[in-house]
Parts: sequence; structure tokens; C-alpha cells
Amino acid sequence: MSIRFFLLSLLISAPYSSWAIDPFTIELYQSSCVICHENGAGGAPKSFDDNVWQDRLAKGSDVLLQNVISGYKGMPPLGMCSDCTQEDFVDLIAYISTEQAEE
Amino acid sequence: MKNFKLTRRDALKATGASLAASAALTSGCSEAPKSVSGPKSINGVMPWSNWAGNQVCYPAERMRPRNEEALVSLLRESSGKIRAVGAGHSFSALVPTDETMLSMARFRGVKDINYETKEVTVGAGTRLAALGDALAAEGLGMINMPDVNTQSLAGAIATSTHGTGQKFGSLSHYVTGLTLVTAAGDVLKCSALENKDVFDAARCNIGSLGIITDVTLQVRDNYYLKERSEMLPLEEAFEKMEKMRLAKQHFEAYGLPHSNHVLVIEFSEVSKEESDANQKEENSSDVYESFRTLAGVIEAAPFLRGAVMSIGPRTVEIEERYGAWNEIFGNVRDIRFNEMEYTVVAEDGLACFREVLDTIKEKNIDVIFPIEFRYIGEDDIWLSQFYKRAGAAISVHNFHDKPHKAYFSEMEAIFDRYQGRPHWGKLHNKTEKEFSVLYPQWNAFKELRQRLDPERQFINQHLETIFPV
Repeated sequence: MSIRFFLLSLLISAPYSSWAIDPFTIELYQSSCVICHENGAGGAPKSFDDNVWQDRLAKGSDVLLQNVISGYKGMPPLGMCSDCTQEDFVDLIAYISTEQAEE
Repeated sequence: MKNFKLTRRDALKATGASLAASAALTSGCSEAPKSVSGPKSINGVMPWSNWAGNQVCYPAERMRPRNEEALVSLLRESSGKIRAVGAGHSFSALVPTDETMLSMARFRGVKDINYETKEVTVGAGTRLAALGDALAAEGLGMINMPDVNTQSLAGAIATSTHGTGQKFGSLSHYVTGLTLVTAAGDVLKCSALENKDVFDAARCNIGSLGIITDVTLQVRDNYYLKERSEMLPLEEAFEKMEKMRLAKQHFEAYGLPHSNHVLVIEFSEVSKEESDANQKEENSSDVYESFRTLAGVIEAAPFLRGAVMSIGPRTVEIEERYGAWNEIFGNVRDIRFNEMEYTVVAEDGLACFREVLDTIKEKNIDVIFPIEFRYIGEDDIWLSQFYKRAGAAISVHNFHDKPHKAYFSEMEAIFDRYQGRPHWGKLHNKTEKEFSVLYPQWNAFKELRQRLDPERQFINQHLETIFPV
């Protein structure tokens, strides 16, 4: 097995949360997003649930980003994270829309 | 109008929620039938908007220093305007800037606990809800807490944000120390013993003195509360509230516009055992839906508003809720609104509250959002609404996409007659002219502000009206 293939296989098999998520993104999620998305309050797409995110992701990341920035349905502009940057929102969308492996 | 039976806060929350549903309002995470049409990016510049959506700006730069050293460098190298942003819960234009917006999100968490003196040092960007959880986990509790707990600690301190209870001060009152970085990049440790003048000013600073990096708070041992809510006829409620004021009991009240009812919510400390023994599942979904139906009726037939608002409260049952302090105090505000709050002298509070409710009725003001009434103890912080006088804070709201200006203007005229001091983070039309009369230490604050920020880097357009050259 080549080193390159070995590393690639590690990436594929490793739980996503254990290597790719910036802890700061998780902190932002906990302080701003969890309140609505954890349980799907008010119709908010539930965090980490592939089923509810597939159709949304299909719209394209730019559309999702713009929805967070301008607000969408029950979500206020900036999605309760007044001090988030555009990059934060990109990271948060990626985090929230991806099934997380159990610790 | 099926199954119309209401309980405590649901009556208040749902009053808003229902109208939101029928009037296509937007909320935190409540159902909303129509999309929000908030600000959009322009030429790649992301807009900033506060929670209520009434303040919008396009900051050219967003900075988020990783630590104190980075913050000091940033301030030393910067010559433009800088405004700190927290959770965006201020309704007034404290944050908007077209230049640099500074986030303290990297300054979060409990940094130190002194178990002996019961003092904790906390990062300025820590959200109050997270602070509550962290303290409870350590067997500690905040002495009092606002009823909304999503704000950042520094933002809450900057505006003397408060809970209720005449025996308690605002959050700023419990600050025993803080670290402030000035425009020149100087790091000032402030307390009653060190840089006392800065300490007395910075505990309610409106973001105008510099950037606070950490705050030391007086806390106490963990505790449990019983919350008892009762909807009372107006006169009975006022009689009870006056007695509770004199006894300095811990309570708050909500007056329902166009109704002769007031919801009185009392808090009392209980043992953990009593709290545990009285846990029950909360069930408000049916109530919520009932109020949606109700508001639909009001929206479709506004002339029924008085009758509906009068009959509805009579069905509200007494409710009791038990839990740890941070569970009882903290509430999610999932309906967006605009708010004005003025604090009048505590002894005048009930008279002012009555005038507010009477005026809404007499002038047939189109609002059903409850009026919040709270007592807060006095302090010695220069620009605190409670400086040298215990206060009664009266808050008026309307949904964020309903007209509020004419309503708030009527209310502000009443508050002015009582020499009310506006909440710094909420809507008001005061300028330096009025503030210099309302605050005995106004000139001392101004002079200190000018000394710490001679180039006026922390002054945005809104603050220009408060601290003109």
C-alpha cells in the first residue's frame, strides 16, 4: 500500500468530527445554532441529519450561505451569530449538514 | 376557539407568536410562513444586522483577535473606527460601523474561580447561557440573571443589562474587576482598588471606552428557584405589587394591553430536594396553537381585540415551575421584536406602569405585546440606569415588522415625565442634552472617555449624538 493510498484511506475511514472540524466551529454552533437546529425547532433542518440536508445542499452552497446571511423562513439574518464571518458560516453549514460519528 | 386555556409565560410568548404567525413575522426559530427578506451581501461585503433586524451595516473589516496580545497590536496599529460586536441583541445602534467590527468570540469561557471569595473571571465574549452552565457545573450561581441569556457578557455589562428584583443589582453591579484595553493599546486592570475611576465608568461603558477582555464577577453557591405565575385582575395585581415592592420581594410582571389583567411572576429560593420533587414536563404546544388561532381572529377582526384580550387572560391558570437558577431565569426569545425600556425611580414605577397601560387603551394603540415591569436595586456606576436610585424598568415591545415608532414615541413621552433613564441597548431618542441632566456623573464620564479615546475611535454615528465633540 502506498503512503498516499494509506493516508487517503485514513481520511475516508476516520470519523469526520475527529479530524476536520475546527473546535471553534463547534463552539459557534453550540452558542448560536443549537437552540433551533438541535431538535428542528420551528421547522429548522435538524443538525447532522443527512435526510433533511440532502435537498438543501443540492441548491448549492452559495444559496445556503446567502440564506444564512439574509435570513430564511424562521431563521433571522446571520442565524443568531451576530459576530460570525462569512467563513464561519461556510464552516457551520458544512458541520451542521454532515452526519457526525459517535465519539 | 377550541381548547383555549393558557398557562403562565406561554400567554406572553404565545401572544407574540400568534401574531407572528398571522402577520408573517419572522422569529428566532418559530414557524414563519414567509421568507425573511434581510440584507444581502453587496460586492462581496457581508452585511451585519442585529437580532431584531432594525440595525444594518456593512463593515469593511471584521476582526477577531485570538488573544490579548493580538488585540493590543490591532488597537495600536489601527487608526480608524472600531466597534465591538457581541450577540447583536442591542436594539439601539451601538454596533453599526462601516469600518472595523471587532468580535471577542475568542475570549470565551471561565478563566479563573476563587472558591473562597466566590468570584469568577470570565472571557468578555462568553455568552450568558454558557456562563450559567459553566457556573452551575462548578456548584456556583450568578446572583441574578437577565431573562434573556443569549447576550455576550461584555455586551450585557456595557449596557447595565439586568434581571428583576429590588434586592438585586444589574449584571454590572456584580462586576468586581475587569481588564480594559484602550485605543492606545494600554491594558488597564480595573477594580475598586485599582484605576477606580475607570472601573466606575467601565462597568457600564456603552462600548465607548475601549475593549474589555475579561470580567470578574461576584457569584454565589448554586441555588434552586420556584417560579409562581398568576394572572390577576389589574387592581388586585397593583395592590399585590405595591406590597411586594415594599417587602422587596423578587418578582416581575407583565401587563396585557387592552386588558384589565397583569401576569405576576414571583421567584422564591427552594431546596434542591423541593425542586427535584416538583419537576414536571412542560407542555405548551397546545397553548401555543390556541393563541395562534386566537391571533388569527384578532388579525381578521381587529374590532374583537379588546374582547379577546379581556376574555383570554381569565382562562390562565396559576402555574409553578421549579429548577436550578439558570434554568428558571434563562428564556429563549424566539419571536423577534423591537423594544424600548426606561427605568424610573422605583417609588414611581407603578404609577408610570399604570399610565402606560391606560394610554394604550385610551389612544387605542394597536399593540398586544405585553408590557414588562421589573424592579432593580441601585448602584454606584456612573452611567448605569440605576445610579444612586433603585429603579422600576418598564419595557414596551412590538413585533419587528410591525410599526413601533409612533407607539414608542407615546411611551417615551410618559417616561420623560417620570425622569426615566433609557436602557442603553434599547431604542430611545435621547441625546447628550438629556443625558447630562439624567446622570450626575456625566461630565466625569465624558472627560475620562476623552482621555482613554482621544481620537474617538470607538465613537460611531449613534454615539456621536451621545458624546458629541
